[in-house]
Amino acid sequence: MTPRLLRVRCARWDQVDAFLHKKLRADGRLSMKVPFVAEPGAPVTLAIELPNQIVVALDGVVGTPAQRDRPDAAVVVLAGAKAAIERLSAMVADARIGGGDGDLSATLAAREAELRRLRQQAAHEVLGCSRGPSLEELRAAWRQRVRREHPDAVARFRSAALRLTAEETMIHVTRAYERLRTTVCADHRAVIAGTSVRTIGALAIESHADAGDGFDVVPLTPPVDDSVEALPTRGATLPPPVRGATLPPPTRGATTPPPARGATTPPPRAAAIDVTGLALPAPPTPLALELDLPPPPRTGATLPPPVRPAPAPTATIEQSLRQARSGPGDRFVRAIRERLADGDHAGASQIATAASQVYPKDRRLAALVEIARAQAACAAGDPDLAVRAVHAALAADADADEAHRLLASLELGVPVTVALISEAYR
Amino acid sequence: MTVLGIELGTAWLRVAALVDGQPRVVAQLPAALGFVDGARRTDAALRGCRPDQRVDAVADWLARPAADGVAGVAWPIVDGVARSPVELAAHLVRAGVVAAIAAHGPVVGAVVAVPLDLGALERRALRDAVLAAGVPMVRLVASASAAAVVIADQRPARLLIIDRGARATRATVVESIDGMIDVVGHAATPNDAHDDDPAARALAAAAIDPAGLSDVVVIGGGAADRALAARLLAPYGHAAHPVDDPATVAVRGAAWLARMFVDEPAAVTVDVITPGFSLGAGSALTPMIPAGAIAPTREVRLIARDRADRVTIDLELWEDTAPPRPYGRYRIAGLPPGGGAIAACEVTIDVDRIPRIDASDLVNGGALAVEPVVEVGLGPDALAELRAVVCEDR
Repeated sequence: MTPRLLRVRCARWDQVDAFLHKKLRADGRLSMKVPFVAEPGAPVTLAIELPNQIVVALDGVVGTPAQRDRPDAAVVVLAGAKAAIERLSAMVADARIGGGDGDLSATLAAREAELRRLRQQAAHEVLGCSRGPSLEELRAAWRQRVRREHPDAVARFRSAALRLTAEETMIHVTRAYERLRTTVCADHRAVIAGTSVRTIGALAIESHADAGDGFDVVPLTPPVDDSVEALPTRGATLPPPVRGATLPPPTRGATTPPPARGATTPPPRAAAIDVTGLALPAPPTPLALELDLPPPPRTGATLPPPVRPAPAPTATIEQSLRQARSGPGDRFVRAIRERLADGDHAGASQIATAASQVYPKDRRLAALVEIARAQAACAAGDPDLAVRAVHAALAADADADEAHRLLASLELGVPVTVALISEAYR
Repeated sequence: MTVLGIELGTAWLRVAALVDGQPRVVAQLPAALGFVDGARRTDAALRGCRPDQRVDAVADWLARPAADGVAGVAWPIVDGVARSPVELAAHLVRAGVVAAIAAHGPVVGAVVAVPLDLGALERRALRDAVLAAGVPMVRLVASASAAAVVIADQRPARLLIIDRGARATRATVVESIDGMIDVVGHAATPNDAHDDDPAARALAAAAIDPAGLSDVVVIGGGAADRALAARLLAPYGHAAHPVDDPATVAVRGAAWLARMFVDEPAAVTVDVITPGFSLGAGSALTPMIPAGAIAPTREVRLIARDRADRVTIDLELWEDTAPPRPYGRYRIAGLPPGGGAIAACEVTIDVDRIPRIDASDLVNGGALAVEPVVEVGLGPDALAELRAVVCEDR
């Protein structure tokens, strides 16, 4: 019979200590909950996960059968418990003497888990604020998060791994903040000022959208950063972008030849990067756009023929690159949103309907089906149906910001129109 | 065991140590360095150096462009030897670190106060120099943020800090609330640009009315000129006030921030990136990191190759100054031969606002090697070698 695996997770050394002294008895008996109906003699393996990522495994058997009123409880008798207790006690003592090491492991594990969790969350969840925060709420949430996640907050551990994890988390938190900040600016007629956002003043805002124009460099949009690239984000004191600037010839600046260190100049004692004698590469040939992309993931559904005219080759490649990077759900959402923004409700509806059949659990696609229906209803002169469709979209996806904005417009007495929906998804 | 604040200015190197929880200036040396027969000379010992044996204003050499220098950076010749700017700065900083060690024991880490608009080349060189000077952990923060730690003293404050340096005047609006100090507006101008008011520009960038300021202070070496300080403070009478020892307030704040290496940080500081960065591949520059982004940050670009048999891609990273300034040239190597390979190139700007480049193969997900072809920074081996030389303390 295959032994059942029982896990005991200890994120901190004091938890290990408590387990050794309060749970595990010296004779190897351990009372614990088990996720199965325990039968006497059934083999089990107890895996004790320690804060330093080591797992100590102990074999044993179920000693006492489960009681009728506690079918999930059993007493497990472990073999070699005495030696294991001695070893674990020594490790706990070492961790106490070492001071920070135990804390370091626990902190690193906790922060890595936190980072994994944050990557699954929407922007407002990352910051811990409401979906449509006020300026003050957004700033307060940002400050609170930064104080906790900033690499400076873990500098005392002097651990490169922990610092990099904190940096990753901080990048994620900052993206979420910048995305919400953009939304808040649009909603409250505010402006971005350094790390902050202000309601006073009327500074021009410069767009950094469409950074991927030109040859073969394409922006890769992180999940929480979608709207940042598509919306004006930056403040007024920015220098003009250098998009399209041409590199000087390779003899200039960083591409200078090796230093003149001839007979009159002894070699330096510490070279930055030893480029002496380095034959600098010839100016790279402009990279052409000849891609052999892997086939897109099989979706099981055939999309309707595109309604829009065939895009230019560059657009095709950019779309292909995006497809190669993003999941199929993102791909469809982008296509639907583009058509909604163009007022092409028929095309949006076709794609949304097909895609929602392939991904029936995707809330965004379900909401977009309703929004496409709303736009079609507007075009047909049926505002009541359009309003019902917007409500249905919100019911399908409560996080649909655009649907919330449409609803807010309705509450202000603004009639829902094709143009209004297009604007919301632009 | 102690932690340090360090400030390398045009005229002075200042070092402060955190002693019993309070910052104390332990070294203040002229920012000049000399070598006689390979031995380092600083401070009073510089008097024995001939002009060709000394370098003044070491900070100015950190990224001085030169056509015949390594990585585009000039190497001054001192006592007949061409020395890298990193090496010069390391020797000078080491002199201050030695004084701190003598007074307060081994150094655990240091926070270096730098101008907010200091370029990435200078930042990288300075960080490497402090590491080579025998400091195990280094963090770079804006001088204004460091000064704000001392001036605000843990109370909520919105400060306009005017830093009058030897060459330029910098005005920065910072907010200090609940243990966090962040920059909300900044402007700088050369001291000889008399018709420019960086303080007004910083306030405009921060979208803040002067009435919204809690404190306006003048710091830096230029604050010793009382008439000048009074003129700079005149428009902000309601909030203007003098600072004790304005020349060292930034380095004292840096020492306070350095508490992060041994305890809970006194405050966390957040900067904005200025200028931004662009990526050069092929024949054009494409914006990569926009100015105004909050550090740390990261952007990713996908780069395809033009031929299936190409196994490397050359990249250049540029700072978006006017004109653009090269930071380094890199080569992505190890692309699998055959069609379909696309490199995902990541540029990360860390909390010190120093870039690093990583790459992965988008198709199979594997990491790709990014080799620096030309870069001002030191690799681990070169850093260890330089540290050994500098810490000989000859």
